[in-house]
Amino acid sequence: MTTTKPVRTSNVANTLARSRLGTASVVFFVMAAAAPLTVTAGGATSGFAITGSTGIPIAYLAVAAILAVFAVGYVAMSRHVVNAGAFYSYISQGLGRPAGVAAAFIAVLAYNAMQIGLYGGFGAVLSGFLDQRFGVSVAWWLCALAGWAMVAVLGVLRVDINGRVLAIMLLAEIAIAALFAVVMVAHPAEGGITFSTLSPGFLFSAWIGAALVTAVTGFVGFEATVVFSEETRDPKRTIARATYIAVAVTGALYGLSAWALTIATGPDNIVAAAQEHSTELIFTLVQPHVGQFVVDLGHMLFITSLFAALLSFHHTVGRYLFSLGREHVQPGGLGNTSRRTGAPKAGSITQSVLAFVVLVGFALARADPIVHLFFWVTVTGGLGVLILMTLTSAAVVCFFARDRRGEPLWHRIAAPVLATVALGGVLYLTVDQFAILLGVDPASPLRWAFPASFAFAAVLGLIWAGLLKTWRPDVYDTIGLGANAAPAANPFADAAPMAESRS
Amino acid sequence: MFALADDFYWLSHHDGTGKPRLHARAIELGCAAALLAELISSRHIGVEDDRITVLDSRPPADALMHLILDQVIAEAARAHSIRTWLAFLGQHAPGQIAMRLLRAGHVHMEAQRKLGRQVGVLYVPVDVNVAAWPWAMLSQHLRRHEPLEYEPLCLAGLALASGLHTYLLDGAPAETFDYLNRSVRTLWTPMRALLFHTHAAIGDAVLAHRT
Repeated sequence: MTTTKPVRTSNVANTLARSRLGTASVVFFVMAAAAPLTVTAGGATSGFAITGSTGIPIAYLAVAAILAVFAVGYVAMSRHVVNAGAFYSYISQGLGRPAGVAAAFIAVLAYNAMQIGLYGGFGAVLSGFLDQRFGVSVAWWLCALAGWAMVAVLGVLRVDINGRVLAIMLLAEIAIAALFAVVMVAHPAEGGITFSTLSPGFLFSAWIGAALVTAVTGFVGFEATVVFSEETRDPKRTIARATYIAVAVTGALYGLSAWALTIATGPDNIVAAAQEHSTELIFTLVQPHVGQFVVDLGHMLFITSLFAALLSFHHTVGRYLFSLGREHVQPGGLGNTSRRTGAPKAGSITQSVLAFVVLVGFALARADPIVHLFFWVTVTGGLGVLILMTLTSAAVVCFFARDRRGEPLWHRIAAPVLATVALGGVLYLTVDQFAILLGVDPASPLRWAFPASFAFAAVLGLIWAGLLKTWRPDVYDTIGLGANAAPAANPFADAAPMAESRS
Repeated sequence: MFALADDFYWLSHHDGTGKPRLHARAIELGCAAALLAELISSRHIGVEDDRITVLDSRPPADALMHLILDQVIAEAARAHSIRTWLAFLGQHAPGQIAMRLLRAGHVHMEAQRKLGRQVGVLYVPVDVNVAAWPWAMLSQHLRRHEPLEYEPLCLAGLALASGLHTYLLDGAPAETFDYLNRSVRTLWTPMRALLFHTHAAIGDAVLAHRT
């Protein structure tokens, strides 16, 4: 019996709804990429050591607050754009196509920097662990290259770490980080428990810019929630909720953990202690109180967390390049995928080659893996993402200024303007204090070299946009509108119909 | 009988072992598109504004086509988009086509094992020549730049949309790929709309990959 009248429930809609994601899954996907232990054990300690600022704990909380405000407009706009998740599509629809292409170039550089910098942390921590526990001496760059080889192979084979394994690892990481924090707070240095490093006064101190961008770097990855907007049960609320939860949980964890570090060493000694022990600091501090087993577990989770972050950022870059290649914003060859695995093959290989060149370069230059590769390069990546978030915030304002699309004032104007001002302020302070961030002399050319790389990428992007406008107006017209709107992205677009079925 | 879905199934699976030549999502979406393409070609359904509409509700002779058409008719009032239908039909399409081949005696079932554990079912072609025929025919025609009939042209379109064309034209010069691109552009509008969304959906699957 068939009927053309609408049945009460739609079989199609129900079947498809069953495979959709809830809030918890989305939170897990993005937080796993953020890899909490990488930040609490690696990012925060390096931040103390290199910037010399004791305001790192309050910086994490302040950045969480800014990002929560940023998320309001960002999530609101994600409901109205396709190709959500790529900052450049927001920016090209809000600020114009040339800005969009420039943003795409900045994004490629920034996410590559995040990924490649993590190799420094992975190599150094793994080599240190092998040396300390097994007495095997392996150079950091050999460990990093071993990690690189695994990521390169897994990237092309498109093997992600299984979602359940990732969730368990994430929960274990959070548990360990929280346990360490509690242990450190329970065993304070002479001064006892003090909240001085959480004092908002730090936000107006001279060195705060360096601390803030260190914190921003720790949050990179949370912006991926909107990628899943089309796959959630209730896109309107699920994504917003997941984004706020991810920001709040990571913010609280990072802030608490960094504060606990200052308690265990005493706020006045944290910088010296971090400089002495580097990424080992957190383990050194808790070792007397929790025993070797838990410390080993923490070490191993630290290493796996770094690896998960490496793989996740590798996939991010591969997909970014694929999406740019598919829309022909960058060479179309990058849009090639592996037939058998569906991996964005060309994008993945490009990223791996780039990472290899940089790794070998750092190894040959005998650079320090933690300071020069892990901290300098990932923080530069964080700076790039900060630039992208500032531009995106401004793009949200412009986007809704043209058409309200039924969004309330807070989503359209108030929050995005607030976020633009706050992010712009952080950006200004960061660039102004980049010498402190790198721990180099204020007159050093390096302090300009890192931020200038993004200016260079942006200029290249603007030139490229101009060339596209002249050479490929069809591509130019659809920049940022997603593959469905871009005729160049699909061989079945346009052209006159001819062959018809004769049956 | 015009059985585009059978041909696509042959093309997308190894002619000897029955193992897939594409990643799972591309097989699912490609098979779903092939089923819809059969109904479009027999003018049972049409495409209007990227939505599937029913043109002819008389049941097709083939049991599988009958089943798919019934599903489209049952939801006709909702006029789902092509993308929705691809996602929905994709969940069962490869298995359904394999069962049709099984009923016709073209394949037999074998347990697929990994480390001694059964992880699934393989549909192994009974006759390699039958299974390899669509590939051989299409590959020859395309490499010689010969004009294609409607049915092979649809199959070529599905191959291009799903990424199988790199296998089909392995080692062929760039002009042959251009020839394929030019040829599929001549397909009629509903078929091109279907293939457009198939290609886009498979591309999106690359982006939204999750475990």
